[in-house]
Amino acid sequence: MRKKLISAILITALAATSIVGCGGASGSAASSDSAGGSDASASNAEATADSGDVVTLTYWGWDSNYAWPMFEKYEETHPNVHFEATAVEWGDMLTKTQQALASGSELPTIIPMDVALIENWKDMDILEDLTDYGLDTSEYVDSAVEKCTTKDGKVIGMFTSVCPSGIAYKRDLAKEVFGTDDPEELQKMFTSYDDYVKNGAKAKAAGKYMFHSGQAVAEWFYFASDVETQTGSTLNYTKKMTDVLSKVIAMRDAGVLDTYQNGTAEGNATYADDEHIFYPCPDWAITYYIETNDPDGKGNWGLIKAPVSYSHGGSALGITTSATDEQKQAAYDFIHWAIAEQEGAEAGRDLAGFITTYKKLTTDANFTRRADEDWFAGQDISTLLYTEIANEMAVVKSSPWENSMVSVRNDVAQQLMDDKNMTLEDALQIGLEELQQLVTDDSITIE
Amino acid sequence: MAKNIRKTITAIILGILTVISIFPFWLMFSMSTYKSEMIFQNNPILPSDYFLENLKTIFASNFVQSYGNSLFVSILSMVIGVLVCSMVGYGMYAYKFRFKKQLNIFIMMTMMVPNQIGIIGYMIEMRNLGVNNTLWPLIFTWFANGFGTYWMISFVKQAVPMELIESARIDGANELRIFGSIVVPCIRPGIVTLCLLLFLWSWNNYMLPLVFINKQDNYTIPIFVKSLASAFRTDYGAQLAGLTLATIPLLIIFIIGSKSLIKGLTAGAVKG
Repeated sequence: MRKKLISAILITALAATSIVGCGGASGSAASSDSAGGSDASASNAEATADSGDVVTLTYWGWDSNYAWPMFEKYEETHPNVHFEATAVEWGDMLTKTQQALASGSELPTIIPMDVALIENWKDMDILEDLTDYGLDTSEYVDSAVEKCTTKDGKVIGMFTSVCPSGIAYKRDLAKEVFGTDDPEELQKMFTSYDDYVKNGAKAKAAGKYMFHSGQAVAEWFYFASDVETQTGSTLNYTKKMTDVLSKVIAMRDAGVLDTYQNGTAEGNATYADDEHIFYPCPDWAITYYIETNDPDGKGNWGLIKAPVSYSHGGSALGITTSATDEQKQAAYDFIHWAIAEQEGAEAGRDLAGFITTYKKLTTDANFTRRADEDWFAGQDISTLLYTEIANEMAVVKSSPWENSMVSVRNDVAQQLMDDKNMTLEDALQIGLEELQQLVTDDSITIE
Repeated sequence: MAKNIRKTITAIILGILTVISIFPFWLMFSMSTYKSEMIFQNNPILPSDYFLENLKTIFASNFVQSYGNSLFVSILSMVIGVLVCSMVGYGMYAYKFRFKKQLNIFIMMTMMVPNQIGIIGYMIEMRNLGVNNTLWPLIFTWFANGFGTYWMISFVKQAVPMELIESARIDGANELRIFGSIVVPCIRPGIVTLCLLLFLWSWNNYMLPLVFINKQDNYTIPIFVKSLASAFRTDYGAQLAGLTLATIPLLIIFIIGSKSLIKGLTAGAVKG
């Protein structure tokens, strides 16, 4: 009896899942890979041809909060364009693309390129030069153009946002610890990195932490550092990491850093607590971190400039060379709409809090006026971010090994927090050994 | 007296180890019953009342399709994989043929090569078969499984006496009959163990779906869960509810097959 029951369950499950599974497979067959034509351009062409006048654009990417709503918005006014978006985690993007490239499999039409990996995308040489489609580089923020330009002058993408960064704080805690929640007064109190260490004593005395994570401040110092990651074929590891980690150690030793790992669920939950005062804050973090993790915090946040104005994060959209001409043109039209046209740029601003890199709009105070200033008790954070900080922030050229450096930085910063006795020399040595494992190119010297 | 003390100490140690093992699962379930913002503000050891809301969020996404895909892939991989491995096991044991030794070595060698190394070749193969971006590459990979074959060769060797097979042949049974009626019942613990392992490996497989699947409709559970956790999604309650549901088939299959699994794993440990 028991045997029969198990057999019946297994057979039913197999039959049911066959229906579901085959449904999925046949669904895919209807679109791009149906007749066995998995060759990239063949399948892309097929996707276009199958759907008549509708051009299908494929996309792999992690930023579902920006890309998905933008695609929907674009499809509303452009019924001849259809997007097929696949969610791929940030850390998997390069692996997936490299595997597809090596095996000759299909690549998406549009690829998002994170700032930390943009040099790797340049090296892969799979992206169209957007100037061939009419992109006028003089119309975009210089730093964004510079980051997207290859050695031979190709512009392989364009950044969707400018990403100026400041330091956000919780007003109630600032008032409790420093006696004021006024951004101007706090700005005067925190003009240098040392100020965060010195004033941190007050936070410590009140049982609070200045920052929730050593990794978070290391990330801030890293992006704010003016030391180039790579010069020629030399990775400036020691110089850059000394600059970053010495500041982390100073804060750690002053007892103003908590030990949460940055970006984890637990770390993110601190946005809503009453223990951690400050958070390094690029403009996109207002939507993604503050408003999401502290839903009851409207009006309780403030923003000041960091000692050195800097840019953090952002991603550029590029078009793969394996797409058909029709797809490439349609993809460029979308990218142009999303970044350089009023309607698309407004959608990016309103849906995801992205302020475009298109100069005419970036410098338009009416356009850059954020709708969520009520989270900051009416503080004019738009002018602070897009006029003051954006005009001051320096851009440091990134390296194809940026991701490895970032990975080492994250690991070492956490180890520094876990082992309070770890010295700068120890940390540098640990990081160096790790980096040597990651950098597989013999022509690169790690200094 | 001393025996009782020893028993009590053993029970306490086992009890502690059990709690340590089960606690993360319990916490996963318990956290999935909280609203995301509440998870880290409270001590989520006791369940809350938000589980249904989290389930609603999960079911509003592509979860059911991904779940179905994972079940389809895992069950088919398991059934065909085990069938092929058992038959190979029987064949390698019961037949004498040229290059049998070399074939055996070759099967062992396939176990030594990490899957990641062969993945590009496999992608090219699947592309030429025209099945890229479907679920089939996730299934085919388990059909000729080096470990499964090696496992079944060893299991058949020790569980099925050659005399039994020869008697059946003398009685006029054909090879399929011998395999189905004599060999399979003898190696049942081995089959169940391999079923569990193949199901588990296939269910948790991340690399192959990552490189082969480019459509949301074809997502399997590991990819779906990872996409939920993509950089800026912070609905931890819903993610944990998804993870809780994702572990259910594994729990069921282990409960059904636990006895045979232990038999299968311990078979051969004691030589008679």
